[in-house]
Amino acid sequence: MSTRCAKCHTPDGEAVNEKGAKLVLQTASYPNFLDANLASLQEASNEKFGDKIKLLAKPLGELEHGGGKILEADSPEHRALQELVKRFQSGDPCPDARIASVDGVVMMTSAETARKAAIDLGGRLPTAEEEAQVSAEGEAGEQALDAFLDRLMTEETFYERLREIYNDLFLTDRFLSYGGAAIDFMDTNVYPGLEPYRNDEKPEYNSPDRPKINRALAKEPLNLITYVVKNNKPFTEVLTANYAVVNPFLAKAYNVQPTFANPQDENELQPVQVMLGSGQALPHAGVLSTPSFLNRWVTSPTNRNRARARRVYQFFLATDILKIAERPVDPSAATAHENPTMTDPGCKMCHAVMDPIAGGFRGYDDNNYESFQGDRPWFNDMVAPGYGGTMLPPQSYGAALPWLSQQVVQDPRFATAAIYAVYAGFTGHKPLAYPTDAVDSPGHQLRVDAWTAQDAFFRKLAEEFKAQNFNLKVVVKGILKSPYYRAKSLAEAPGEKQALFEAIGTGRWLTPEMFDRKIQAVTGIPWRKRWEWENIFKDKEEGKADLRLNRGLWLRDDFRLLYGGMDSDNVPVRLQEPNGISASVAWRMANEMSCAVVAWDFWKPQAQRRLFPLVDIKDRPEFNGKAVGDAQVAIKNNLVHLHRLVLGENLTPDHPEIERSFSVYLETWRELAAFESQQDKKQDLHWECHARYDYDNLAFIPEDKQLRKDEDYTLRAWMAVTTYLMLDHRFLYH
Amino acid sequence: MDRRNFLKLMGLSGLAVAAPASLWTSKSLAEGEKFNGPYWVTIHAGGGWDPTLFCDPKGGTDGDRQTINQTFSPDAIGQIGSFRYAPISWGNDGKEVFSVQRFFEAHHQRICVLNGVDTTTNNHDTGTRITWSGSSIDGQPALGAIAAGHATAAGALPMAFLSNGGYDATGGLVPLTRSGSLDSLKRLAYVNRRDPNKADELYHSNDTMARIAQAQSARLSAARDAERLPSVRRSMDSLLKARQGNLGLATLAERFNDLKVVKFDEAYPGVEDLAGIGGIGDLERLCQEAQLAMTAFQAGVAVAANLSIGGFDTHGDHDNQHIRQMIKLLRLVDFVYKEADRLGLGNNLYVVVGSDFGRTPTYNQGNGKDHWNITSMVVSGPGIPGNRLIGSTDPGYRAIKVDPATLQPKEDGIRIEPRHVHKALHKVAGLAGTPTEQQFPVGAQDLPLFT
Repeated sequence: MSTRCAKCHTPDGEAVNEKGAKLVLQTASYPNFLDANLASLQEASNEKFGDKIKLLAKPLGELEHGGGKILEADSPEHRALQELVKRFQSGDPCPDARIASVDGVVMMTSAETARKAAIDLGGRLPTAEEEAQVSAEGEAGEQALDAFLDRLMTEETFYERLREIYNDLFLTDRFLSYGGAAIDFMDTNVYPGLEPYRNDEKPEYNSPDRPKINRALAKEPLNLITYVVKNNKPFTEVLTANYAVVNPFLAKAYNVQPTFANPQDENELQPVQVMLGSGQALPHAGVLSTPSFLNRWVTSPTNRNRARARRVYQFFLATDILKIAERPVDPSAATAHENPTMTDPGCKMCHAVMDPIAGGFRGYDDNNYESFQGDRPWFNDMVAPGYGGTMLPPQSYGAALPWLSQQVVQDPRFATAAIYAVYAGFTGHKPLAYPTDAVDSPGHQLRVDAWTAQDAFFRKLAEEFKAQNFNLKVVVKGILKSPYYRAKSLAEAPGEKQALFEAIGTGRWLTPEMFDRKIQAVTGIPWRKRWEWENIFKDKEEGKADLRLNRGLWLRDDFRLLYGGMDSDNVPVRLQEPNGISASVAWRMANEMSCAVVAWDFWKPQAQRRLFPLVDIKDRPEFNGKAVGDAQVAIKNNLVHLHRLVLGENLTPDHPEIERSFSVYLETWRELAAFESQQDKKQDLHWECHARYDYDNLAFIPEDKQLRKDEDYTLRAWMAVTTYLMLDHRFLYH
Repeated sequence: MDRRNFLKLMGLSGLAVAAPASLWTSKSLAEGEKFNGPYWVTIHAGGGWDPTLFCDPKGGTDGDRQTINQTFSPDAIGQIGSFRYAPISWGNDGKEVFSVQRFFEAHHQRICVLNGVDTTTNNHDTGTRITWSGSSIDGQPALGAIAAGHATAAGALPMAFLSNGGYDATGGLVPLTRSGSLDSLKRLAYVNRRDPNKADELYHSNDTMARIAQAQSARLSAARDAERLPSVRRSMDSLLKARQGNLGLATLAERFNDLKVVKFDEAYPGVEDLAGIGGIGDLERLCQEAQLAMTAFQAGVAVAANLSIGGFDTHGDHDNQHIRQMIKLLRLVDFVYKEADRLGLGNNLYVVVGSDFGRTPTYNQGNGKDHWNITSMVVSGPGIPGNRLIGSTDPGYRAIKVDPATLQPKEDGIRIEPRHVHKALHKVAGLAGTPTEQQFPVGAQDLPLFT
């Protein structure tokens, strides 16, 4: 059917578009297209003319089939169609369906999964206690993992991660480009509370609150998601919330006064009803009615909110509406149509789908995007507002967006869209697309099996999501515990079955933000510009309340784009694989970080060290050219510790990889120790690599307490090993 | 740069090592070779441009939304060489930024204009893909990726395909690279220098750096060979490939030492007249991106660069908004040509300018113009005849079919499509039939566009 019937029976096909055929077959780009097509076929199988079933008769050219005869009466295709109709009638459509599976996947243990998830969701490593719990064998370990994941999803970093994932879609962080980027688009007649922050003659304009208000405005859609998930509310509220969510600074912008436990806490969120300058209560519709969303996805007098409709489809219905119209069209031949979007088949195939949703934004101004006025008229020369064949009821004309939101969340594709977003966010991969290559092309059936298995997983997860009242944490947990996140190997080499396992396991190049957190989780400090560290220490000495700990982070500033990140504006897409530049970023990071942390860690009492708790600074591996046994044992034990800490590898001291690391250590040490017999013994550490900063306490180390010498050449040997490990695939990928 | 100088640079960068010629086994650069062109700059007018305000002017009547151009009448249309041009200009703060006339005066001898090009779509994503890959197939590599993929088939380059926007699918042929500030790139060129400007202050000795790299390569190769999961194995391949491409950065960084970043308020060849004009910050940023790309070309570390300027999707207030963006775009192209000439790259550089599609022949109620499948493309480069106009449109801005043999109007001829342009570009640039191109062949009839 995908080749014969779909030629004319797709939504834009001739049969549907021009002849009004009831049988509509969706293409593979439509989410849940198999369900939709099965439903459409089942409905068609009930249509009869006399005693003839239309679905069986028309393909034979009977009953005035517009496409004529496309199947022979006793052809395999027609027999298959008869079988399908028979199964519809028996109520048992797929008695012998093959269950596609991806057997043979070796999963991470619960402890390994916990480490990965802790870095991913929490920006930290599991504590010793947590590690002990998740290391239990079998079901106990899995239960402990469940509890651990639940705990991670209460931590603030998880919500930061969630905001990143949804900003990859919404791109509303564009308004963080400078401290007034969001404030500047706001109409102070609509939101009078912002007037003093837009007027450079008022003291508020230069107040420290202004950038925080800007941040709150820009982040409002993402903060609503945070609020919904954090409070275990149904995820449907991201669209249906009849309230706005404000922090203390957005409250100022909106002139509302909810009670805050800490009026300086940007992460404290409270629901409010926003009143517009006109005195009208804004009919909230979750993220869709936020000024940030409306100004990021703008309209125009002729676009008439169609661009926004496209985003509603993309973000919340897992549908790329532009895929509908990928066939060649020729609008330059369409001038015969007075109103092409309603009458020209080449135009209306998209507009019939898009325009009703666009009508949901009725009431919002075409130029002043956040301005709402319920009695603004809509257009008569485009498809009327509605959803899925249901017209927007007249009583909702003044609040069309909340009505639209209610419709969207009842669509099965809403759950699919949420699952797709979380899946892409945590695995780094898009969901598999249904294979559209020829059925006899090599590996086609395996690709279909891989898609079927993933689709089955998504469906099951969607059911659970709905059953758990659309709690998004159910989706996160489901994906984190699946082979798509946890697979670490295959029991056997895949051989010809490679296509079956394409989507299993992640092998994901970390985003700059994830990498930044991982560096901190492993080493204890982020990769920050040295002079910004010093500014933080000075600010702390001076007793400043806000130390602005997000400043000067290389991966968030200078190297964000070069490492493959995006800026929500000119570069809205992340790179999925490294290049020569990003490989160099990694190397610079490894060199700078090893310089920063090695002497500092050795400066601490041995029991408090993170990186080198099992070795002494005086542990020289050789003396007079001969191995020092005890020292080498300590060094190898510490290498085992480092491999575990940095790479999550559990190795024994005699493992070949420990030997390889030891070789890096030993050869570097020998290279340096050779200077001991020379006049310049080269025992001074580089200035930058001194232990001069107490990062744990954000303080300078007094000069007489600093560690500046490497008298036994061990510090630089450890620096070499630390650089080596931080360049590793297991560190750079997730 | 010869091999000796290249290795000298490696030494200065702190990346040179005693034993192996490179740290990550960079094949092409270890042989002391830089990429010598041809280079590619593709410039995307994002949103769907209106060629009737540029190279396919029609004219019309002010205030009449049924005419093609309200800004100028048919008799105001100019002619330079083979080209008729729209008599438009734009400026700010009382100064002219540029005009279409100035563009053609300066560059008509080197460009080939194709009018009446049918993108066969009015869909942004599809149109952009068709214009820049010659195909509507999702994931089809961009023209720059094909060129960069071919050039790096024998060895990686650190910035082979630069893009900060526009259509930049790679089809897995080459890693995509974003551009950044010169300071940032210098830090990355000299990863072992504590201060990128001080060659003798290193984190690790050169021997230690080599030791680390060798051990890492050996470990990664062993892990890759043992890996069974396709996605993880693929990621290891990506890392190996990326590491092959990071050494030539030092070559680029050496260029930075003498580089003066283009800024409109400081003297810089070719843009002196833009000093003091407001509202052109985006143009300045794009000129800086172009400058970096061409510096990378000159250093032999890059093959292709995407430049993208948006703001052409003018469904409302078309003339005011669109003319401003069109003039900025042409000034950017002007800068690319002038900078390329200044750096001695002009005869070895392909430049292609295009957009998602065109815009309607009439204005809508908001004085905007909507999507239209007919558009134009501008190309130049080695082997492409200048002062050449191909194709045309009728008074209703519909494409006129051409004879595929003579390219002259012919009623039962064919419409020129972007795929024909790609096919011809591949041919003229020596990409046709290469293993890289054969992975993504362009399905189109051969037209004698550039012969």
